[in-house]
Amino acid sequence: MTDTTGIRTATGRTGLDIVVRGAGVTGPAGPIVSGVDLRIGAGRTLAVVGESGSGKSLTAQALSGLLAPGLSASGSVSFGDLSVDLAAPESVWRPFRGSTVALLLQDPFTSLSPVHRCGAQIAETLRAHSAGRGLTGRKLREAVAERLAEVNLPAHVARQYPSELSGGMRQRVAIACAIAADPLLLIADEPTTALDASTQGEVLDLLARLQADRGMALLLISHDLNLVRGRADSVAVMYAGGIVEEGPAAEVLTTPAHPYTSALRASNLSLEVRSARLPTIAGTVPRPGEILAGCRFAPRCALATAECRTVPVPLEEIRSDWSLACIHSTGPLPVPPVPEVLEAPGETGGEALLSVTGLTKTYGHRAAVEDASIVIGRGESVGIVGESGSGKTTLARCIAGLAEADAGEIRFRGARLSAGLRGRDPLLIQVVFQDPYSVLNPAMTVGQTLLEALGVARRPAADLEALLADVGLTPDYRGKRPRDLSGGQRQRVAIARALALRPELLICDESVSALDVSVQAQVLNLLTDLRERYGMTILFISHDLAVVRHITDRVYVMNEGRIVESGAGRDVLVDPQHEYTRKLVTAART
Amino acid sequence: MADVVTRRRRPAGVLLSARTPALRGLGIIAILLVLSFLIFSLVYLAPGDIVKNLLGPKNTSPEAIAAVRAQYHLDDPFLVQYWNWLSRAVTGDFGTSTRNQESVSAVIGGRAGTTLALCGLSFVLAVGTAIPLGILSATRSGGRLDRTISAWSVVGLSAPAFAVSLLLLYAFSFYLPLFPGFGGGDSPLDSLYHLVLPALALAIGLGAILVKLTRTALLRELNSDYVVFARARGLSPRRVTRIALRNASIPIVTGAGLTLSYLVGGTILVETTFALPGLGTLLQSSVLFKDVAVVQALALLVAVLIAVIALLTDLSYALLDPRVRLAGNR
Repeated sequence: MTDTTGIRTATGRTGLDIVVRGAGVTGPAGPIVSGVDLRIGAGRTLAVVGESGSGKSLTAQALSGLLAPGLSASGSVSFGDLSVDLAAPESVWRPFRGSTVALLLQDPFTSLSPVHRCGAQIAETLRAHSAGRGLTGRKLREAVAERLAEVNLPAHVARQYPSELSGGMRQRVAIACAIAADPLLLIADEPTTALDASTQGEVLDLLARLQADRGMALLLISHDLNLVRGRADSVAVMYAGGIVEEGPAAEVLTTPAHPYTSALRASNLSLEVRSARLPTIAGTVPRPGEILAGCRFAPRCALATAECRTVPVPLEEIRSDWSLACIHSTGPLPVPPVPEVLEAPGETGGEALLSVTGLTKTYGHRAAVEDASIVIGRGESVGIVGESGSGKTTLARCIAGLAEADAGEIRFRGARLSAGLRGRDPLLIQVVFQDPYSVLNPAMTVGQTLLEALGVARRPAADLEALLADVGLTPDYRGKRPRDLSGGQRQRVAIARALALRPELLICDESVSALDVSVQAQVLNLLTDLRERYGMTILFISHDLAVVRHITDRVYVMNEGRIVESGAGRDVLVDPQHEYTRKLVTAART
Repeated sequence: MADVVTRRRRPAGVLLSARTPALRGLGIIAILLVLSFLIFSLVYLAPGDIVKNLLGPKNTSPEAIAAVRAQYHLDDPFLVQYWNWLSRAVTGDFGTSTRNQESVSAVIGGRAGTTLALCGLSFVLAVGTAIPLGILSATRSGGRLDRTISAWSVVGLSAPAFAVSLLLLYAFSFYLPLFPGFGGGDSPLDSLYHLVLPALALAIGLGAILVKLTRTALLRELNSDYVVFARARGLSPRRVTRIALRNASIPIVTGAGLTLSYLVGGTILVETTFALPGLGTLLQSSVLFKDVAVVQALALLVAVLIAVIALLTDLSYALLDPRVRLAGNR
């Protein structure tokens, strides 16, 4: 590609700063995002981090003019001397998309058209812009292969459909689609959240390399501070629709100055030590459109005073490259004390509550679980870790009786359990599932849901209040419906529903994966408390090694349906022996 | 029959069924066998004496009765009779029409052309207008055009074919004598001219269903992530709609296949209203005159047609959806 013919190339346009001024998003209920100012140097990466409800994804959509109907944007973005009004209509935005700004979405399983070949989808971007207009036949195929090579994919992927590729490969194809028209700015909205830990790193490294090679600006949006560390030049932390802290990544992520960033950082779990209690941020993120007079974080902040709740707190510079929205903090906050360390023995103490031997489950001709054997002692907390497709959920479903194993034996207190749910006592095993949004019947109130469960256990309705209190909910929650609750609150109700039966074994299948870090820590602490109070045994299934490290005593590692390693949490997750576990641990550490 | 067809629409079943077209073909043959048995039993299930039913309303002399009993092997066991009928039916021999003493296949052959032309014309009319209207409706969802199209498609959906036929007859044949009101025409061009109003009457109901179907399918695709991603890469609205339409084509084609079986029922009413010499009027008069052989043949023909349409629709999944195709190859 050359500059002489007027074709704009990536290299010909470097050196342009991207500046966002006063970006805001307004929904039917009022403003959701307001006053977002950002600056991304050419060839630089700015990370925007925040929990769900912070408005980070809406900001990304507003910056490419792609807000859903019913939402409106305000403010502007300029690419060098080229400025676009964020409220501009579709016809103004379209020429900018792809060649100036491109948006990469979270889920590569839905962001590519399933019925078009990968090559055709890359070619669509090429042909929509001047660089590829008029390209046909062999020339077009060559251009597509060039883009595929850039994302480390062989040329034959062009002829494949997305369904033939793994998640990581699909996201690479999506990246090739997004950069095909050489955008100045690539916005990546949680680009690895839908991927396994071991492929997350590869995709992020690829983005970093492309950004450096092309001199492209990258806006990386993530909920995960660890993910951003080392991969961004600067960081903007968003909370409840506004930026609370913005500065150099190295400093903001290690020595944050805003109480929210500091609390968020403390909620990040470590693989190295197991804490007795996890640090949490009290309360929940305010709902979009909820108007707070003062600092948005004040209701959850330890430093908050009366002034915080009444006076608006603007973003102010504490250094030329570091801004902060806080009345009380003027610099890095003291690091909170390290929580008390707790380590458990690696052997099951006492009698086995559940023992599974040689369990095998096949779907079609594919073995989901193959010859798996596990033992869970009474009162123990045991984890199963593995990536998606490792068979951990199938194993849990077989234990819970939700799927019938083809071979193998499940014994509960020495007595053999039937394969399916038939003939099983519901008081033995209960499950808390992953998605708090689909797990509760939306037509039933919390009270009705829990009374139904209490009825199964033949417990009196009067136990309802105690049950709500067990999971940290007040009695007035009994009249609420799932749609009135946040994700964390829903998951508390789901836990209460399982607890209503006072099960001997509680299976948590990715029960905190859909929750924000601060809420995740609250729910994990709740599980620890309940375990102590009722002497409950817990089987915890998760892809998140750090979560498993903190909530369990012993760990089983699964890969391709087989258990490859087991032992005490510290032994397995700090000093892994099996190659696969090592790979997982390395991916989790970076 | 309709029930069998609907059950095959379920996606899970589709994935399984499209994997093995040969198995699906065998399944359809099994269903047709069961249906043929039921159809053959019709002659016994129909009220009244079987001999009288076969003979028709006239001529009940003992000789005629004996002749009929011999001709139809009525003294054979039921299953033997069924087997004889079926083995002849497979070769296209459905016996003789009691009404005009012609062979049933000749009677049907003489009428099939009109009905095929009517169904074909109305299908083309319906698809040709409904799918563009559905696309317009979905791409301008919530707008005035969308609301107008939706409202009219509800009217078309709820208007029975015979009522639409009468309305068209009054409007375009009686008050505005643009089109003929009855008959099938003499030359091919004249036949086509005669078919315009009946095809329109059939197409309105059919098109209304297709508009709704296209709109719903396309709207769902337009709200998906890959459409947002296509827009985020700067693709023109036309390209974006084309990508979404390609994805929506799977439910649309299924729906269109399903409506073809609606045509089979609708044609009887419309042909009767417009006095068209097609299979619909043949069926209607054959039932009226208790011409059992013709009724059996027509019922079997309809069953075979619907089964073939269902099979083709299922196979089109594999053609349209690479996920189904690839699962089949694996």
